[in-house]
Formats: sequence, C-alpha cells, structure tokens
Amino acid sequence: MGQVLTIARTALHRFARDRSNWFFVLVLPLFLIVLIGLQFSDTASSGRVTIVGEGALAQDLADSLEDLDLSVTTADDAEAAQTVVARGRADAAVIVDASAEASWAAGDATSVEVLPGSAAAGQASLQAIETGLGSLADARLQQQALVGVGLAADAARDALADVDDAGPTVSVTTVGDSLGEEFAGLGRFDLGAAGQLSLFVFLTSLSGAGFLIDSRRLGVTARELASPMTANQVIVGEVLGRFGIALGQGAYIVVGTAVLFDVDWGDPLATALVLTAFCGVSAAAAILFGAMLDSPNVASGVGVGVGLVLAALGGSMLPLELFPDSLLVVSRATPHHWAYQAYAEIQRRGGAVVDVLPQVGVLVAMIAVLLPLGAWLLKRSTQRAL
Amino acid sequence: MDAVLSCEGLERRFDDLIAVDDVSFAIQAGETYGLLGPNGAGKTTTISMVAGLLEPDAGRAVIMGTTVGPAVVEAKAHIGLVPQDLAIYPDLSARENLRFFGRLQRMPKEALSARIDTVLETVGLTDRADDQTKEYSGGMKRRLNIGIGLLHQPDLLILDEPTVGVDPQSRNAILEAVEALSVEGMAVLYTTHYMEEAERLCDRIGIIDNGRLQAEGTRDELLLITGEVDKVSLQGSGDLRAAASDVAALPAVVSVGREPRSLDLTVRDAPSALADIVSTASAAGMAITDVEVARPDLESVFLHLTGRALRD
Amino acid sequence: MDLSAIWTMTSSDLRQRLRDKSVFIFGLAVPLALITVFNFLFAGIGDAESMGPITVGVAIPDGDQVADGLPGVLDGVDNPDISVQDVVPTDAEAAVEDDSIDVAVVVPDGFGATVLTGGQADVEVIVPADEGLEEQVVTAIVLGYVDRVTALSTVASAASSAGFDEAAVQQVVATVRQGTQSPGLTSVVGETSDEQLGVEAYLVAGQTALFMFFTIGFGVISYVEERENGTLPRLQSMPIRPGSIIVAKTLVSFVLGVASTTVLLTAGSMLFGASFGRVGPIAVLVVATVVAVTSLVLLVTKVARTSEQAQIANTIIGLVLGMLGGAFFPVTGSGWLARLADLTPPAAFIRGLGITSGGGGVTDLGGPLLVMAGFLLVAIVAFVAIPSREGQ
Repeated sequence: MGQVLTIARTALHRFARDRSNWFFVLVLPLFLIVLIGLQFSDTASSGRVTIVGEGALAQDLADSLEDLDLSVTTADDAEAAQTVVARGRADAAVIVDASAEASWAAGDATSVEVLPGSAAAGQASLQAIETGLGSLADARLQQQALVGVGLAADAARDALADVDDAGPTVSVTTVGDSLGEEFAGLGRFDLGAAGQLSLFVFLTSLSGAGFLIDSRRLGVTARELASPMTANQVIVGEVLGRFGIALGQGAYIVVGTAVLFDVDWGDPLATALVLTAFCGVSAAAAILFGAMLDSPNVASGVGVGVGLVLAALGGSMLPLELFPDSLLVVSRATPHHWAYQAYAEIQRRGGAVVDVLPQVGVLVAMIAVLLPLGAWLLKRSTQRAL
Repeated sequence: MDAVLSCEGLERRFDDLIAVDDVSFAIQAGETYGLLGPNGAGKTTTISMVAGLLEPDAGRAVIMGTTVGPAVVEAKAHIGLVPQDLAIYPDLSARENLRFFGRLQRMPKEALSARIDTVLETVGLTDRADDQTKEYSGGMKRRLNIGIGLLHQPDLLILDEPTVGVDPQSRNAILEAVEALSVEGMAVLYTTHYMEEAERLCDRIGIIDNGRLQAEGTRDELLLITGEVDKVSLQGSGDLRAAASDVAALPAVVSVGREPRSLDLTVRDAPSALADIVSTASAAGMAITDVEVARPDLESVFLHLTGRALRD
Repeated sequence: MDLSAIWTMTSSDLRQRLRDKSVFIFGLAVPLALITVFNFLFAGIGDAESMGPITVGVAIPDGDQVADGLPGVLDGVDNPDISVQDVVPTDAEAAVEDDSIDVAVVVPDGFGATVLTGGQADVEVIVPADEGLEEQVVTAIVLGYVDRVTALSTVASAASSAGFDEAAVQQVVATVRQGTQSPGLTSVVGETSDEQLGVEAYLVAGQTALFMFFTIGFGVISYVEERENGTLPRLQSMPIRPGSIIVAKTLVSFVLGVASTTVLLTAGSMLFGASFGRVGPIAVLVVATVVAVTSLVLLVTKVARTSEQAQIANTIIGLVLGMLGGAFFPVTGSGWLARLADLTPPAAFIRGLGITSGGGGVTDLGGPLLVMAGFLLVAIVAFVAIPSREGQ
C-alpha cells in the first residue's frame, strides 16, 4: 500500500508543482461561476426597456412601465438606445425627446418614438409600452375632465389621488408546474456552481491524462512496473493520484463557493458522497483516456474537447430541465447528468444521503465499467511502450 | 594570404558577467582551429559573435573581409553554423530540412537539389532522406545537423561541440567527416571540451577559460608551455636500489623515486631514452615486468594554465 | 524586407504546423464538436423571431356593458395573432391546463355594476406556469383595458367626493370615456437595425472567437519553441535580416488564424444555417480580429520564458477574454461587466458579425474595428516597452 500511495502522491506533487494548473483549478472555475451568476441576476424581469429622456413624461413613463413588471434602464441618446436594442441588450427603447416633453406639458396630444427589437420580445414589449402610455393618458384625461367641470387643477389631482385604490384589479393565476418553482429555492450562484463543479473536476482529470502519457513515454511507468509491485498496484496508484486531484479541486470549489458566494450545497454528507463518486468516474475516465492516446499534445486537445462536450450534454451549461427529450436520453450517458440530478435533489429538495443513492449508484456503475477497461488498456499500452 | 576569419579583441558581457573578454584569433583556409575549454568557458558566446547571433560589446569578427553582425547579411553567407543543439525540424524530413535552410542561404533551385543529394550522401542519410527526422536515431540527427551546416559550402564551418552525447561510433564518423573538410580547404572553427578531439582534429588550438584565451598554438607548441617532462614508471622486482642509482646516472633522467615494487622516473624525451633506461635497469639486476610512459597532454597544459582540470 | 526568406520560413512553418495534428484538433475539430453539441442544446431555446398565434378564452358575464369591449380589444391585436373564444368560468383553469386554450380571462359576475359604483372587482388572468411572451402580452392588454375602466370609476369617485352632483359626475365620466377613444399619448414605431445573431450563428461566432486564440498561438509561439530547440540560432546565422524571422512567425499566425476562422464560419453557415452577411465586411472583420489577437499572442511570446509558459499564458488569456467576450453565452446588461466585455476582441468579433448579418457594411463596423485597433495599439506599445528575453 505504501508504494501505491507513493505513486499517487507523486502524481499529486507533479500536478501541484506546475503553477499554471493553479489557475485552471482554482481561479477559472470561480471566475466562471461569478460570470454565470451575474447573468442570472440580470434576466429576472419579463421585459427590458430602455428610455431616453430626462423630463417629467420620461420619468412618469418609467414608473408606469415598472408597475407593469418591466425592467427599465436609461440611455443617453437615441443612438445609444438604438445600439442597445440592436444588440439585444434591451427588448425595446422609448425615446421621449424635448418636443414630446413640451407638447405633453402643454396638454396637447403627444406621441413618443418606440424602437422595438426585432425579436418577439420586442413586439411583446411594444404592447406593454402601449399599455403604459395608455395609463398615463388616462390619468391626464381624468384630471382634464374634472377641471372641465370647474375643479381647480390641484383639487382635481388631490381628489384623484384620494380614490387611487378604488376600481377593479387584475390578478394573474398560474396553473401547472413551472421551472420558476423548480429553481425557486436557489441562490443566483447555486445552479451555476453545481454545474461548474462537475465540468471542471472532469475537465481537469481528463487534461491530467497528458501526465500519464508523459510517464509512459519517459519510461517512468516501466520503471514503476519493474519495482516490486504488480501492474494493478501501479494502476491503482495512478488512479488514486488523479482521484486526489479531482477531489481536491471539487472540495475547493464547494467550500470556495459556499464561503465566497453563499452557495447552499445542502446536506454536506450527501454532497460529499456525490462528489466522491463523481471524482471516481473522472479519475477512471482519465486513466482510460491516457491509455488510449499516445501524444500528450493530442490528449490535451481532445481532453478539452471531450470534457466540454460531455459537460454540455450533462447539464453543466444548460439546466437539464430545459433539454429537449431526445437529448435527455443521450445526456444519461454522461456522469455529469447523474451528478446534476443528485445535486438538484440535495440543493433544491433538501435531499439526504438516502435520496441520492440511485444517482450515486449509477456513478459507481460507471466506475465499475471504466476502471477495469482503463486498467486493461493501460497495461497493454505500457507493454507496447516497452 | 588573408585569414578566412579574424577575431580582434572580442568582448561580450551579460549584465555583470564578462562572458568573453578580449579574445583574438584567426583561421586560415584549410585550417581547423579548436576552441578548447570547460563548459561555461565562453566558447558558445564566442561562436555566437562569430556567427552573427550576438553583437560584440567590443572588438570585432571579420569574415572574408566583412565585419560580422546580426544584420550583416553578406558576412553570414560565408558561414555554416552547426549549433550544439540539434537544430533541425522534427516534423520535416531530412531533405525538407536541407531544402529549407538551403533556400534561406539563397541557393539557386537546381544547384540546391543536386547539392542536397551530395550532402545526404556525405552524411549517410540517402536511404532515409524522406522520413520525418523525429523518426531518426540520435546519431542520424547529429549527422543531419552537421550536413545542414555544410550545405552551401561555406568558407567557414563552425561546429559547436558536435559530439556531445553521441555514441562512440557516430562520434568517430563525425570526426572523420571534419578531417575530410579541412582537406577540401574549408576553414573550421571547432569547440569542444574533449581534449582528445582537439588533439586529433585541430591544426591549432586556443585554450579558453573564464572568457579569456589563455594560450594558443599547435599541440606541440602548447605542450612546451608547461615545460614538463615525461613520466616513466618501471615495475618489477630484484635489485631496485642498484637499478635506481644506475638509471639516475643516465643524462636524460632528471629524477628517480624508489617504491617497493617500482621506480618512478622523470625523463626528458622519454621515447628516445627508453631503451637505455630499460637496459640499464636490467643490467643492474632489476627484473622488469611492466613499463609505463606518460607524456604531458593538453589536459596538463590546461591544468598548468588555470590551476584546475579541464573536466570539473 | 527579405521577402523570399520570409516566404520560405512561412511556408515551411505552415507545412510543419499542418503535419502536427494539434492545429486541426484545436483549430477545427474541438470547436466544431462544441458548436454541434451546443447547437443541439440551445437551438429553440434562445429568443424567438416572432410570436406565435394564441387562443384566449374569455368569460364575460351576460349583459356586462363595461366588460364586453374586452374580447374586441383582444381580437384586434395583430401581433401575436389572438383568437378569442368564450369559456365557462368554472372550466377556465382546466382548459388552460389541458392546453385547449392558452390563456383564460375571467371577468366576475356583476363586474360592470360594481365598477361603475366605485367598488372593487377582480379580473382573473389564468396562464400556464411556463408562460411565454404571448401570454405576457395578453396580460398586458387586459391590464390596459382594466386600467381604462379604472380610469372611469376613479374619476367618478373623485368627482363625487369633490361634491359634484350626479349630472356633473356623468359628464366627467362621459368626457373620460370619449377621451379614451383617441388617447392623448401614443407611440410611433421607429425603425431599428438588427445586430443580433440567431442562436446558431451566435454559437458559431462565439466558438470561432474563442478557438482563434489557440490556432493563432501555434504560429508565434513556435518562435519560443525554436529558441528552446536550438533551431533559432541556426536561423539567426542565416544570411537573412534579423527581423524577418519574427515577421514570418507572425505571418504564420495570421494565415492560420484567417484560415481556421474562415473554415469555421463557412462550416457553421453550411452545417447550421447561420448567416453572417456579405463576404467583404466579414473579411475585413476577420482580418482585423486576427491581427488584434496575433498582436496579443506576440506580446505573450515576448514575455514568456519557455514555450510551455507561452502556451499556458495564451490559453489563460484566450479563455478569460473569450468567456468575458461571450464565447459561450452573451454577457448582457448594462453594468460594468458588460462594458468591460465589450472591449474584448471576441466580443467585438461577435458584435461585428451581428452587424454584418444585419446587412451592415465596413463603415458600420466602426465600433468593433476600433476595439481591434485599440488592442493592436496597446500590444505594440507594450511590445516595445517590455524588454526582450533573448540572449543567453
């Protein structure tokens, strides 16, 4: 066992010695989680409108649109607003220029320019904007009508303000299950953190396959085999090394995101179990990968490609709940899929160890297939290298 | 006749370190000049200035009448550099490597093709000419490395430690090739820290250490510097005491030391005095079982000049 | 310049790079694989181009004069195309749930009478949990209609509470009702250009922008490799101008970058139906982007001690700029992050392709080209300012 651990420790040591790994292992995942988290906070409203203009009408319109649950930003001028809409950073723009402000203030019929984006969201926002404009027009009508029967302007405003709460209301009822409810309990970083955890642990392991190929090419593996230990012991040592790296990174991401971004990982025992099983699959996959390829350069290229593709298919880039059914079938072949399901169980539904046993079972089954296959191929490839 | 290369007071510093300090020497056509010194003595830096890779801080190297410098294209055309590292592209075949460097040497196309065949023949790579060089053995790569330097028939061939890490057989092939070159009239600048190579190949040798040229001359001239005499050791039994006193009386013998089973002598010109010494000792009653003669070599010259061994 | 030597070095380098599989893997295979997978995943999830038709079930109490205008208002909407049908209030929820209608609007019994006397009444809009834009529009229209009704009831209450008699109140209500027929505040829809890429095109553009860094790196970074391998001294001993070696390497990067970008964009438009607009402006954008990225990699090469270091630094820079620039998903919003993201070459490249896909020409590419020029300028200044690592 001592020898096995020595091999594992050396793998860890070599990995840690290379400073650039620290970036990929420690910095990049958190960077990505922040980037994704910031995106989530941005898309919470039902429409995004940017308004140009600083006068009373522009201000009233902004308030009225916010009442309609739109998110409202301001732009400096018509050109800037146009760009924002053209680039899809707002669904529509409203331009309230000086002449519109003046004519509105004078009590005349007024029109403002609306620039809807080309996508459907632009048309939908256009409807909302018209509703908002209508309610401003109505408010002025009411005031004018009261003044028309002899009330002073101030008195009319007060009288209207006093009855503000009267009249009918609209309530919206939803039926059926919604994604919103599914994700309701999650913080802005939670979903991204779980996905990135799997993505990076797996990616780092696969790119570590290059080390394995190096060892074989440099004859280190042959020397290890020549020492008084069996081939299986050597392989277990290499697997343990990969596993240690994966687990270290995984633990770092879990703790780091929990501390820095308040990510709620739920039951620590259950999370640890899922992470451990997933790291096992990653390490086994790395061995398989290292055994199949002969050039470290090619391995790192293919490793990045395969790592990203599997992560995408497994729900690390897009929540599985949004997958089309056909892809969901393919997705089940990735370890990421099962880790995703398990973390969902833990994070969203307060799952404990018992609740994630099915998913962990699938991950363990994957190890049971990948590890012997990888070990067999590695033995063969090492003999070939001799 | 003008020298192919003449270096005058070459000097180069890297920060505070003086890598090459006031180095001057000249090489004639057909002459092989050796720069002998330990690793870090300044050999490669000197060569880098001669080959136009580095600008000297002071002094200059003149090739065929033109002062060398990184931007002096005319001067570089006279040089063939064989760097110490294997300066070949692994993804290209030998032929492609040769063609690539030949083009950069501005060799005309047809002449280049013919010349490539000749060089491939010379370095013994004709059979494997179209294989990628990453498939080559170490010796094959070394030979191609030298072949590229010969390709454009330079006036001066610079070989920087061409035999480092080479198996004895390839090493011998390389040395033979270099010997053939000087016969063709090429001037060769050869650096090494192997004393035997310098002795075997070089018409003249410059001993370099700590960036300074310590001494220069033919092998025999350098040996004179030490003023040392040959060492002769007679081993055997019998009357060593009588033998010692008789031998000491011979005019060529400088001193005699007596050990229980041997006599250690210092002798002027041992080869010519050896017969006398042996017969005198035998006549005095010593039964000689073995004779060893140690002549001074460049190693002892280096030791004499610098106070340390060539290979530390 | 030493043109023939530069050409010799460039073509020899290109041949070597092509023999090395990694250029194909990083330049073509991996990005194409990612685009394909992302395409399967994200197609149909991004912004729809237009809204689909929608069926709204409306329940209006018999003879309610206030509410009976609502179906007409809904029916009159063109975008989305709304068809209105009657629905029994008690069946409304079930009908939405089983998808026989998309949205139900239930107006309570006695709505009109209650409203006109200033009382409270609630109109219920029933939508499916995963509501789309169409459902949001219906809700907005119902809100608008009810707003107008509210305008009548509040003004009536206000008039009464201000002490007017019944006749005056009726007059006020009539004025407001009349006024709503021709609102005093309307919208004029202006023209906007579209600089947005469709989902497929965005994926292609994003991955192309990201992997460009790797492909381009293969050219210039081989300069550092040659320094390590020992071929650089041999090259420097050749009768060529000293600057031509790095010029050749830069050219290799440039050719590799332009070639891989062209292949990826072409493959993207053929395989995934992405459209990027006219070739001329795209070519200008591609060249500008490749130049900017190449200058960045050159800088890395100058600072790096070993080729491995250069590779890794290049990968890190590529990943950070790529992610920030929206290679995987667009960084939207108007905060500092989006502004910072706008300044990266990948973002400028993607944005430029958006402009060309919307029919923009070279003159419309000002913004993206300015970003590239900025990068080039910064890289040149830094390149000159940073001391070289060459020498022994």
